[in-house]
Amino acid sequence: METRVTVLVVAHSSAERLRRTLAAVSAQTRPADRVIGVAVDAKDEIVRAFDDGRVDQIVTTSENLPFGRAVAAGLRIVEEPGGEDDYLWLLAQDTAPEPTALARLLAGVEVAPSVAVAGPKVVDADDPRRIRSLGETMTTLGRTVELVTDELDQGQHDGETDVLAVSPIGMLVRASVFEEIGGFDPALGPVDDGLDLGVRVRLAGSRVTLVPEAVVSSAGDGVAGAPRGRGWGTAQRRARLARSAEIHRRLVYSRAALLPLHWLSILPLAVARSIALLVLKRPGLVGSEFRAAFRAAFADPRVFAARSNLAGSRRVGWSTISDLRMPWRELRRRRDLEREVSGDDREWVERTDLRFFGGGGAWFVLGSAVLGLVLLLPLVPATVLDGGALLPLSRSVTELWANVGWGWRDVGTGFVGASDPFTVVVAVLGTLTFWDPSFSLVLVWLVAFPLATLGGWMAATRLTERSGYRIVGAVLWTLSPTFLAALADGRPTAVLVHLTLPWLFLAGTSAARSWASAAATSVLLAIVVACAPVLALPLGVIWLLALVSAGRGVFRVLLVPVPTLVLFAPLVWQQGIQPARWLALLADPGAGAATTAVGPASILSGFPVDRDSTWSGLATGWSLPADILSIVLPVLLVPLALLALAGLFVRGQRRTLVLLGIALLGAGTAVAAGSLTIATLDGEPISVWQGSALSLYWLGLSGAALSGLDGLRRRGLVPAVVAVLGLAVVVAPLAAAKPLGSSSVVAGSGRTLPAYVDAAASEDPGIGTLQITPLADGSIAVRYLPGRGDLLDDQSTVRRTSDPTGGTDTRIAELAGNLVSRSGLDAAPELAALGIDFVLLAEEPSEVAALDDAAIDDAAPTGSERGPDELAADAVAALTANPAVEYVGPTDAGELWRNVGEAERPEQDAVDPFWSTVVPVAWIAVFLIALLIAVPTAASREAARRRPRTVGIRPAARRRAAPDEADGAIDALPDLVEPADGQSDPDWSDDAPVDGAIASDGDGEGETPDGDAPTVEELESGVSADPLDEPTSETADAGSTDEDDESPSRTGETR
Amino acid sequence: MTRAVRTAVGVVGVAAAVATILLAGRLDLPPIGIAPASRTVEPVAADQSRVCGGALVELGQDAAAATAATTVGAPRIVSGVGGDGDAASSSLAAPDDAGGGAGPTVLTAEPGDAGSTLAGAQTQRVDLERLSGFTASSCDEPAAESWLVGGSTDVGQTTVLTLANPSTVEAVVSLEVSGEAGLVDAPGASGIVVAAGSQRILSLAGIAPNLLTPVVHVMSVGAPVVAALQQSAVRSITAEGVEAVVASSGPAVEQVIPGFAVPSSRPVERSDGYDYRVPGVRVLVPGSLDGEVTIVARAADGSLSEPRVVRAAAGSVVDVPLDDLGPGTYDLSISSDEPVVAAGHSASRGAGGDDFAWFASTDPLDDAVSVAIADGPGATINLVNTTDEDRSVTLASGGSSDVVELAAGTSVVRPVSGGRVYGLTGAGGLHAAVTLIGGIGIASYPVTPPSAASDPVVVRTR
Repeated sequence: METRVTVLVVAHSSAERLRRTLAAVSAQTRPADRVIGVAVDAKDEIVRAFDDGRVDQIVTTSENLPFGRAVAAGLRIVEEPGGEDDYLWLLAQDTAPEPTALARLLAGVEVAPSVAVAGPKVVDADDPRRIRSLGETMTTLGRTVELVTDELDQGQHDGETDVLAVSPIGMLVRASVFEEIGGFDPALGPVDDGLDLGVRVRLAGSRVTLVPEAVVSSAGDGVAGAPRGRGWGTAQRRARLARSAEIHRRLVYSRAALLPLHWLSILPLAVARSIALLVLKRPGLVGSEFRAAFRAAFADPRVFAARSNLAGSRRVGWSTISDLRMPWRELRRRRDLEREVSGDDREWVERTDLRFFGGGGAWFVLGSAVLGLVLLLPLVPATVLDGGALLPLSRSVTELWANVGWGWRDVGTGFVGASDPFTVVVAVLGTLTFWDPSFSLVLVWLVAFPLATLGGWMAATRLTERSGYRIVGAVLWTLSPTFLAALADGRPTAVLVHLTLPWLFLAGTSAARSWASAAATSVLLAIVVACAPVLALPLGVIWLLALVSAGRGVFRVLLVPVPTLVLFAPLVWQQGIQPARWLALLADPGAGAATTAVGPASILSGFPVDRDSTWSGLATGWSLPADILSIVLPVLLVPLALLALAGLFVRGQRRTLVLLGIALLGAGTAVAAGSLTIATLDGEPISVWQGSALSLYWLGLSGAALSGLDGLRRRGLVPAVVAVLGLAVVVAPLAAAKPLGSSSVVAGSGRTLPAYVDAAASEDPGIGTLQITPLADGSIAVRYLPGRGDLLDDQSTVRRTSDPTGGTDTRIAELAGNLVSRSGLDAAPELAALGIDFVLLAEEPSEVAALDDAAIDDAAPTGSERGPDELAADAVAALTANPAVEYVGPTDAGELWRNVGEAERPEQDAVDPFWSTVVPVAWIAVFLIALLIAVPTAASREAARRRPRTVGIRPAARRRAAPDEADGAIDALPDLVEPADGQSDPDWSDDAPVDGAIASDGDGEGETPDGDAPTVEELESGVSADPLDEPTSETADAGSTDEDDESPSRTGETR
Repeated sequence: MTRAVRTAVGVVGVAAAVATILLAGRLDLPPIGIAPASRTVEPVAADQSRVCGGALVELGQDAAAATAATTVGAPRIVSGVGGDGDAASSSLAAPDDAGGGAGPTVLTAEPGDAGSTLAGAQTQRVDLERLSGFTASSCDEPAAESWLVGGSTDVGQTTVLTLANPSTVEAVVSLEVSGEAGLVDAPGASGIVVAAGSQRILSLAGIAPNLLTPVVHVMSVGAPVVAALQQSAVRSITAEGVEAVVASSGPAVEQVIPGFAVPSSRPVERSDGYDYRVPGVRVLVPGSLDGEVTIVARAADGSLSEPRVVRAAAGSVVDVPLDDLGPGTYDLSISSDEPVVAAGHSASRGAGGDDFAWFASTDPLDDAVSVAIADGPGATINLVNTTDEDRSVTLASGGSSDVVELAAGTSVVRPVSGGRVYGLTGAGGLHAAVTLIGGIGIASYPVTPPSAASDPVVVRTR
């Protein structure tokens, strides 16, 4: 019987490609007997194209059918298949066959009657040398495996013929068999339809064969075969289709008995696979995963039809095809091979070694640790710190975490609402030393120096490849005045900010190009903003700029603030949206501490405390001229400023500009913070601590200086040493605050209330203490302290910034006012009703009293002649004469009275259990996701190794030095005295002459795997990147670079 | 980028940085944020309360119990609220009174405004073998701290310390007794418990014997107390008078003793050593620094005496005789370079026998005060204007009123009728005392303003 070939061409769009396809069909050496055009939901131009292509028949459907159903629709107009020799050739709009394709395919089928399907070699329409598909199979677990994907065609696969299935593109199928097995599964879209067909053909006892000599090109439109493309939407669609098809096939192929089990496993598997996707840095596919799972589980009614269809056509057992399936192990082996050869070779820049040990960084961290221990020696035996804004933490981890989230805040008289995000940081810290949470802060203080050095060093690796200058960066960061002032003044939030910022810089500079970095950035950002909400303003500006310039990484950058926003959401609701107190969101979390805003001279020097008074306190004995400090100290800092400005004239100018911009933002924020008095402490308005903003300023300034030094190369050595020494002199009194006695941080007792009260609170945590402090201006500060009193994890900016003249506060004020005066009020009922067990008459801390002098204007003059001493005496007299309270005695915290009666426990407001659950669950979910994405994987580390370590300048092409080659690690600046290496060669800058660049590049050995020195054009287009414009240069990057670059936990990657 | 462009950008950058630094010095952001909110609490006014000294006490009335204190007779009490209100009265328990007397009287009244302060005074005249004389004292407000300048535990002198606690809380009283030789180490002087609603009567000799010129500093923890001394003298077998010593003003560099009366008829004119009957001023510099004390007496006509300048060793009581003063009523001003406490004393001889009186230094008055004039002969109210502006003070009682004009730096002695309560207005900053002189004896007590502890309190709850 005569062989008849019916060609079906399915088209949906792209008339141009369709014309090409139709032309190719008509140009076949073995002409088709009949061509049927199927236009699915197509415009008129498609139909016209079919007409022009002299198609025999045109079928149009208004529905956008998947390929399989479109083919079925096309076949409806075909009469019954004539017999064994009737064939269908399936093409789509974008699949143009080579002229010999049909002839070779027919040759492939006609060899044996058992062959029912023949598939061509599918190549890329744009690059015919690339194979897009050459046979499909599945693993023993049912996962689709493309036997060949995206390989250069060198004839290496031309011997393979026996496959489980082939892609539907250009598939030649025996019409009778096609009819018998019911055609394509209508549930399967452009993915897996060919595989499923192949499986059913095989199970029906026929064979599927590959004819590599027949070539059909495909543009990857997604009409037949999976859509190709790197776009965000395409990748998601492909993932969703693949997963949906996989689940569908599993449900169809499984035994009936196992069907419920498979169905039940769909959603749990989706969760597990999502976690895996996060770790694999493909968070964008999580949505597709769930959509596919839900669709397969609840919206796939065709499973049973497909099962019965399969059962009806199956002639042989599954075991007949088991040989054609791919074992899992084989799949893994293939993947490993693929990973090795993947990546765009053109953009390889081998990352230099970290040289943490070899470059001397480790020695400086060690030295910094020793220096820190020496400077803070009196704190070494401490188990808890006191002074400044330092407070003990709750005694157990459970209590710590109980103070986190949405619920009853047992601070002051208590309220229902959000915890400060900082309490999460405190809780995490306290959990690290779970045996004694308060000890965590001691640890922070003791390791602050080496951590700052390490952080500074790591951040410096982003700016310079020179070990010497990295050390300069580490020292600059450690000697930051704001850091030392925070340590001396006992400000845990500021210390944490300073320790976290360099890592934020490190991760943030690569956030646009790597999911892991973006995730790490988001977590670090949340920590920084939680510790210093005022930094949300400058960091928000930086984020916006990064977003604008993120290019392809815009989505990654866009998501960076999400954990921060989620963390702050309850507080924003409670402070911002509800009472519209947006400014209050910027209040410093943690304990209130006396804060005096400093002027521009100190701010520009990076000092959050008065710069000159740090020295004048020391220099009292020397009788210095009055103004000498205000001249000498700035002069000592001038070298640093000059280095920062020098960066504007050398290589890396743009990144210096960006860093100076950051410095400007930091200084501006510091100035703004100084005039932002949101919170009050004992009746004194306290400004927001400027030091955190100054940490950002310092980051910009020292970063700019490093950038300048890097540009100056070895010429910068002497200025660098001068700048560091000048800074060291200026900050010496701050650094040595503890030995000099000017530090307010002391080893604490672990309690803020008298031992008597503390002991009572251990018995009954519900007790309340009324603390009355006579103030210098003749007023009294009154605080209700529940339980053990002030704890660091139990502070609330909501409370500190709230209106103190409402409800319970008024009653407490009335009671306190009467308690300290000769009064006719019977205090007993009110003491009982307010839950006050103790009354403590405390003295005002001296640093708070000092604020009085600095207070700009006293909003509420008291009109009282009495000073604090008279007030205290009157209060003592009044309290001792009060029958409602009984004098306990003097304590370390003040005079203590006990409520004679039984204090009631005030009712706590009801907490909405919904929100108290949702808030922590949302926090956990978001941070878990972020951390999962941040976890480095083998692939992400591999990708990171192909990225330059530095940002903003072209990577140094340098000879890799063996670790032991770096001379004496003790040598402070080994790199600077080293003989010329690749970097030290002649001028080599952004606008360096081409030959110069090539000359220096030529020095680099083996910087790319194949030893090719990249040309200048490649360097320019590829890896060079400023923090701002770096992502734009990413456009050339392959999609496979969704990978980790650097995550903070990877410091171990040292040689 | 060419080298020129880069240099230009660099120069612009440097210029911007310099501009920033220069601008930063001129930047003056107004403070943004909240003003510290506060709440002014007016303490609930307490009931007014005054404790009168109670009946005179005789020690050793029963020979079997030489130190037992027994009250004798009952005082006459004058009390009132403002010029025309009545006070409620009750009695305190007096467990130390072997005689089982009624106990001292406590006057109470509703909390009142400036014009309706509670005032009370008591007088008592006794004529016993070992206790005779006339005494008048004010009913005082309890205080946590008081200075009693007077008394003596020398031979022939009996001094009794009364501590009254009208509150509902126990008071623990400590005493610091200073004598001519400095602070006395008195083991029994601390931890004196005064139960709520009771009065203790203690012999000062039991605490600090053989002191010519004691000054007692009473400090109470717990409830405030009203402390007073009762000094009586016996020479051989003749009782020579009795007087109550009420609290003087606390240590200050300026002290005023109004109404210091030198009677025309005196038991002794002058003496070589200390004699309590010679008019004089007892002064103590309580601190640790010696003080130079100047005492000036101003007669009613405005004439000033020769200033007496005394070097007073810190902690040692000095008695400065004012034997050059002629009969009359003076106001004494005591100034010192160190804070001092002071009280004057003088003695009279009359038909009823010898008697003496103590004149406590006073605190400046509020604008409106009530003054109870004890029921006795020859009562005068003595007003001293130490301010530098002229004053006119209205004395009102029972519907009638009297206006007294006081020029700056002058004093006035105004006879008043005993047994009445006067309301004084316009007396802010003045000093006042009530002095009674008659044939039956001499007595004086200061007019004290009500304590000022109930000022409004500014409370900050953040």
